[in-house]
Amino acid sequence: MPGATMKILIAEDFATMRRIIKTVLRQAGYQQIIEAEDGAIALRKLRSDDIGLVIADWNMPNMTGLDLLKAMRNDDTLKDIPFLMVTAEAKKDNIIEAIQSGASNYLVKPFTPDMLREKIDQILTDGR
Amino acid sequence: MPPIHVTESEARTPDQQDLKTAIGRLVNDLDTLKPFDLRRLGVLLQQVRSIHDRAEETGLVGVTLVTDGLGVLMEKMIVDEVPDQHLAMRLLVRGVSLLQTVHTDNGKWTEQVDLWKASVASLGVLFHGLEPESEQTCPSSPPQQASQPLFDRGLCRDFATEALEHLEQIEIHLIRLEQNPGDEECIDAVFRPFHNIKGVSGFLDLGQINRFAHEIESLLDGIRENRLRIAPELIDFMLSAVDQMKAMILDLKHALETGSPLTPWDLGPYLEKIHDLETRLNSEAFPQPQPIGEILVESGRVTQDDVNAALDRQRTDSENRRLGEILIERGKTEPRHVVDALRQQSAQRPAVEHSVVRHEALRVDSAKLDTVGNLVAELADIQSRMLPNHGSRPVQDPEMSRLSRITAELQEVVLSLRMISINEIFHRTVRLVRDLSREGGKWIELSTEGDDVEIDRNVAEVLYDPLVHMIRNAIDHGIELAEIRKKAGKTERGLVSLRAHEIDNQIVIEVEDDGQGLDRRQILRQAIEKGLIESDDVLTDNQIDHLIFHPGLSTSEKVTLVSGRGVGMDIVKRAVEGLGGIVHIQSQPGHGTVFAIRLPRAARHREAADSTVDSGRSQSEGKV
Repeated sequence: MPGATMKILIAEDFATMRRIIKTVLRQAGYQQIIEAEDGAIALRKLRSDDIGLVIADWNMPNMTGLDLLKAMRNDDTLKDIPFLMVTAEAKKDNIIEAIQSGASNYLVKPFTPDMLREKIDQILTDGR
Repeated sequence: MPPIHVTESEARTPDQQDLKTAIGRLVNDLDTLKPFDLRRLGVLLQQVRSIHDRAEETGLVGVTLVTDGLGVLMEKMIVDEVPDQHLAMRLLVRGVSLLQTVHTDNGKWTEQVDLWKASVASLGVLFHGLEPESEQTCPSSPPQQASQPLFDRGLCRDFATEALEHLEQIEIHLIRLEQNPGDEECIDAVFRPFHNIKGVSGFLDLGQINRFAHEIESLLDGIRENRLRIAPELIDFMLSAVDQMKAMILDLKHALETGSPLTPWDLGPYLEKIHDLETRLNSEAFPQPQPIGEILVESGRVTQDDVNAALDRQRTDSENRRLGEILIERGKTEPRHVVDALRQQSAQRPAVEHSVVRHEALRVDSAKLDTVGNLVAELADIQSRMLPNHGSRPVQDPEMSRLSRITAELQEVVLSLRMISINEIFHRTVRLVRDLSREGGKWIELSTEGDDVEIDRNVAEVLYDPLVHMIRNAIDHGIELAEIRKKAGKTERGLVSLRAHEIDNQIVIEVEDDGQGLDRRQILRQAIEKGLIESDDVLTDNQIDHLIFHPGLSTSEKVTLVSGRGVGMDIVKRAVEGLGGIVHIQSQPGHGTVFAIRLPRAARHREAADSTVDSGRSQSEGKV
């Protein structure tokens, strides 16, 4: 499976939430996980590491998930990296905005390991 | 990875000349779209929107209609509002081919377009999963088990610790928000902890916490979206909500430690209050901080009767004019007076300089830090015994000198791990200042300055109480009521400043107020009554001021809840002297008082050093 060696970056300001996502990712078979506390740190790590998928929270200090996404999509070296946007609010406008800005998919909290796995599979097989 | 067919920049800046090319490209790109490929769908949605906008400009009604429908359909696909993605894909393909037909027919549309649009509109109307209010996201089940198979108790405990830390930061932002209602960064900083608590508690199945966080979050959403006005009442409520949330998290922590069940909280009153605030603070209903009419009456430009009459007129005014306009029209006042009043109105909430604190830190149990500190102290102790003057090694031994260098560095690093910015302690007093000033009916601003001064965490704890006493003293006895300040020609708003800086190997911490200064006659009278001095003693002003550090001396006219019992200032003195420092007062009648604490730089580590000496272990084992 593609997940075993792929590096996944989690951008999320709340440490407990990062751990939860990490736990769920491990359950889903992904082992190489890198963390960032906000969008700005995530962007730095993206530029210095070979990341295969970004899972980012919308609401973060310094640089929001949406701004991170936009920055990635405007950067030739990062624009093809799949991006999964995590939001706590299932607000239609937010979701459309994220997808229009280039998100590969989105996930509404709280989610189960199955839901996360399904989204990742969709992203990695069907679309990017 | 295969390349993306269409980049966003192309979609955003479509060829202005040729709508046909744009539609042709859409047809092509659709060909390779697979279900669930949301990123491609997002790009296609942008293409559709740009075609729509251009068709609208050129008046191609049919094209506008079809692209409208395509937009709706694609949004539904993105938010998964469709019962079956494959069905939606077929509808999408059909829509795009209709688009081609309609475009070649110069924008004429047919019955087919209407039929197609109707099927798009009816698609997935029963979908309910995207309502934030839905029960699934907010389990309101009875107090739940704190742990789930997937997530362990450790995670719950860490959540509690992290949540409390984030809640701690909220108070300062709330108070800044009150002074600066438009500060979006502040609103975000208040919003985020509740948002995060809501998110995590959903995973951990902590129903009550989740529900409460959700309710608070939607209240804050109202502020973020400018639907709600920021009033002192709202800030008061938020502070109490923060307290309630803290209590709930502490209860969770307790339950995890003792295995007792979670307390079932009655959140009803909070939810009612939220509802109440949401209705009453609706920004549409109350657009102004202080009614303009009130300001004009206060400044004597118009009478209350004029204002009342104008208000009556305004209620039935079809043009929805402002009060000022009506007053001018009726010749009750002049435009420049209204302008003055408007300026005064906006000046009532002056901007306050501040920087937002942010700490990215790793959480480490402080007991672990103490252990590391003790071990390093032990290491240093043994190492020093191995030095030449203990007779064991020659002085030139390079390995020995490396060891001592590393040990010294290690000691320094360990000490620095315990250091915090003194501002952290300053910020903890923000809530106190606000509560005390409201209690005393005073208007007070707090300014803090000391980002670059670091002290040991334990020393900071020791300093906290004295700091609180000095601030209480400044607010209770120093700062005057607004009317008195005004009469004295001062700003109505009093200022309490907390400052820290390092000078000549000393750390200086100052608490300054711009109040009335110490009441020396009162101090003298009491000191004589208590027999601290004789009535014929001659003291300098400064000596009189320092009498307040005597235990048992209080200068307060009345005993308030928080100060004036004659305890307090002597505690300050004792705590500071305990750290090897001194405290000094400088007071100027009518202008204010400065309390200055001077600590030797070494005091920064004092507590840490004490704990290593007390450990006992290093001494007993070090002699082996």
